[in-house]
Amino acid sequence: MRAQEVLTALQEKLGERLRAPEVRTEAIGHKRTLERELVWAEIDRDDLLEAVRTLRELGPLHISIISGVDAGDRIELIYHFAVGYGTPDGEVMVNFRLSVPKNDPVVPSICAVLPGALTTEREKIEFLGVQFSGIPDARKLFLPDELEVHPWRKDEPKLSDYVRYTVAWEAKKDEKGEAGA
Amino acid sequence: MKHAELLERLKLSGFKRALWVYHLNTGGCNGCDIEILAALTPRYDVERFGIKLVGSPRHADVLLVTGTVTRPMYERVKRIYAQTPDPKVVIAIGGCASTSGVFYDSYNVMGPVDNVIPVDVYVPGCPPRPEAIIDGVVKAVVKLERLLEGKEG
Amino acid sequence: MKKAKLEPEGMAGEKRAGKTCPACFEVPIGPIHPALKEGIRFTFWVEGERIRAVDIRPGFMHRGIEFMGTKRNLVQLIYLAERICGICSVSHPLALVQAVEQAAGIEVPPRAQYIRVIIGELERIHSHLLWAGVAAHELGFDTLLHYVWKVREPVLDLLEDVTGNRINYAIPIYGGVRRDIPPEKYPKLKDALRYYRSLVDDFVSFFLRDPSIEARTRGVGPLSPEEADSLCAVGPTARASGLRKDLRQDWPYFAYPDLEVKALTPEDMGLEVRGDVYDRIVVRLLEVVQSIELIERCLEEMPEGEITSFPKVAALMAHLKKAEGEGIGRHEAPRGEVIHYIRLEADREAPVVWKVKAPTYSNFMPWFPMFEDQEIADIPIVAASIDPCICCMERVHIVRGDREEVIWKEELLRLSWEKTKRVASRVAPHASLGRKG
Repeated sequence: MRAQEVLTALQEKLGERLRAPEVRTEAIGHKRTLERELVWAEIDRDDLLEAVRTLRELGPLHISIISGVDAGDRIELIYHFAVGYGTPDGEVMVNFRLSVPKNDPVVPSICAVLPGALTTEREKIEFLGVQFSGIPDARKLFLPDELEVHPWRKDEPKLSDYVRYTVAWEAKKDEKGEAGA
Repeated sequence: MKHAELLERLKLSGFKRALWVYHLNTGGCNGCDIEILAALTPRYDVERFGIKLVGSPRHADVLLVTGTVTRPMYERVKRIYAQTPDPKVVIAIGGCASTSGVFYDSYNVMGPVDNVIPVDVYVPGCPPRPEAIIDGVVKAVVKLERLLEGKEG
Repeated sequence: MKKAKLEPEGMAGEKRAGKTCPACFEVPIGPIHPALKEGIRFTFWVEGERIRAVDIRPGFMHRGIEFMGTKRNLVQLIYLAERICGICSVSHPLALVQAVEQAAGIEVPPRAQYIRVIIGELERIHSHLLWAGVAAHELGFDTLLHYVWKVREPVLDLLEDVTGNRINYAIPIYGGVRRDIPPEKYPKLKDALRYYRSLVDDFVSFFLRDPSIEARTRGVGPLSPEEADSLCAVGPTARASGLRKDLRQDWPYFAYPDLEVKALTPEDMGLEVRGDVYDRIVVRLLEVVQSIELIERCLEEMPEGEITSFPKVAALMAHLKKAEGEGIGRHEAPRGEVIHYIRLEADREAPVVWKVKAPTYSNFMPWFPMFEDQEIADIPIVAASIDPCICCMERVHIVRGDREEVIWKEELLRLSWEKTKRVASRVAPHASLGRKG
């Protein structure tokens, strides 16, 4: 599987709806040099299921993870897929960027296409406060039930109540506003 | 520590019984836990001194605690401490159990083990070598002896 | 016999138990289980001895590492990544350095790439041996546990000799590795590898030709290839189900393109793939041999030269501070795929986003079909078969109406051991060896 094949298939299905498609390459290996390819693209949440179905038809599909970040008034999710495992040097990473507004953070669940995505979707619900429509199981996974905040959200006023400064100098640094700078 | 030396120390401490140990991971990374297991297996073989890992705190003389305490484990650590019969000794194994180590400044970390239950022996290291863990248990024997004799409350 | 219940509706145990067997007992197990995020509580719904539905709740060991990571600088991040898991303690840093190197555009000298492979493969040997010991313990073969852990010590000595520590080796750094393996150390490494080669036959006869182990693991905890594929299993768990899924083959990195690694399944030992616990033992044993070969080849072919592109840490820090971009690092850890995603911004020492995925995270979903229709006494070995980082059973609650009993891990292990005894007395010695069919 090559990145161009994946990109062509996606563009055929989604056309203009696949925004900013990009193939990033990296040279690897010392004696036998290879080009490793990563596909990056932006899509809308309404096109997600179609895009994932397209990938599933292309070859063996694996979802590595969904990563996410609080980007001000929107939440950005990145779906990291790997298409085409099972053949030497044949895997292409496909990364879809998806952004949803904070006042309506609903994304369609891809569990119906790829049941293995359930773990990572459940994780995103509790960490970022997004919702997945059609997810079969939306209970908490990693966080304790009594924790009522979404720790990756930057607009959680209550989060600091939960953070314990177990190391004294670290708390001092934070008071001066240096932590994370 | 040499076998003979350890036996000598066990003898000196006058400890007449085998020491039963319960191992509890409160949120560590497994590094200390596999070293504890390594201490039980043939190269270190603590069982020859009568030190035995048991499956329930109700049978234990010593609690080996590894890892920083996470939020869901906080109450459970207390409960397990309460379930261990007196006299008992708690050993904090590794940097995280002793000081919380690299895990600080998080919503789910409640701090080192001595924030929750009293600790008698600290074994530093990340992870401590099996020899260090055995040394820690021997120090615990001495403490337990004194508790049995009623010298310490 | 095999059920293909892949619809995710089937995953919420309670719902299904209520539908399929209203008379089921509820059996919660855990949560005390030493893993990274996978401090796990199992709840089983059982009908007699058979498990009809299962629910799994991890999170007891969750420390919020990604949250902490976005407040630390990149060098501190290596130390934090190393302590995500103490058993695969080099896998997470290896994935992290790849991600940061990709984001910051850092070149790595070839010798460093080979050293990373050697440490990674040594770790695989130690981790698979550790697993084999634990699996033997779950089945009640403590002699085998002690034997395996005894022969595991030399590889720890080797790691200590090469890196300075038995666990948490602190070897990878952005742009290379922190310690060279000088040629004086090659003979010692080669001797140890020869020692492990000489043990392979023993391992095959202890684990694969033993009729009681076969009886306890054949057909237990099966995972079909379709299930492994759609539930995104990784590592030996996926390969035991016949998927040739191995990042070293599919997505080579470090020096793996030169080594041309092949993903191994039970077929490589001439066995039919059944995807059960026995097959998971087969795959791990095959991989120990594969790791020995890879290290030997690395020692032969390792080029001379620098071990890092930034001999001075100050220069590295200055480069990282300017770096901007995002990167993905993946590594085939002993248990499967580790992936790190990182996003850096210039003039900010801490990453903006850091997402970590450990192998057990992916192997979490495949647990559900594995447990279905198994016996209670098989819980320890099925749970251990994906290698979720040592044993997870600490105590068992049996609840029915207002009656509640607490059974500890010992009890569950006793059930497992009794089953082995029962089975062993039935299986005639040397009968029905684990060959084809």
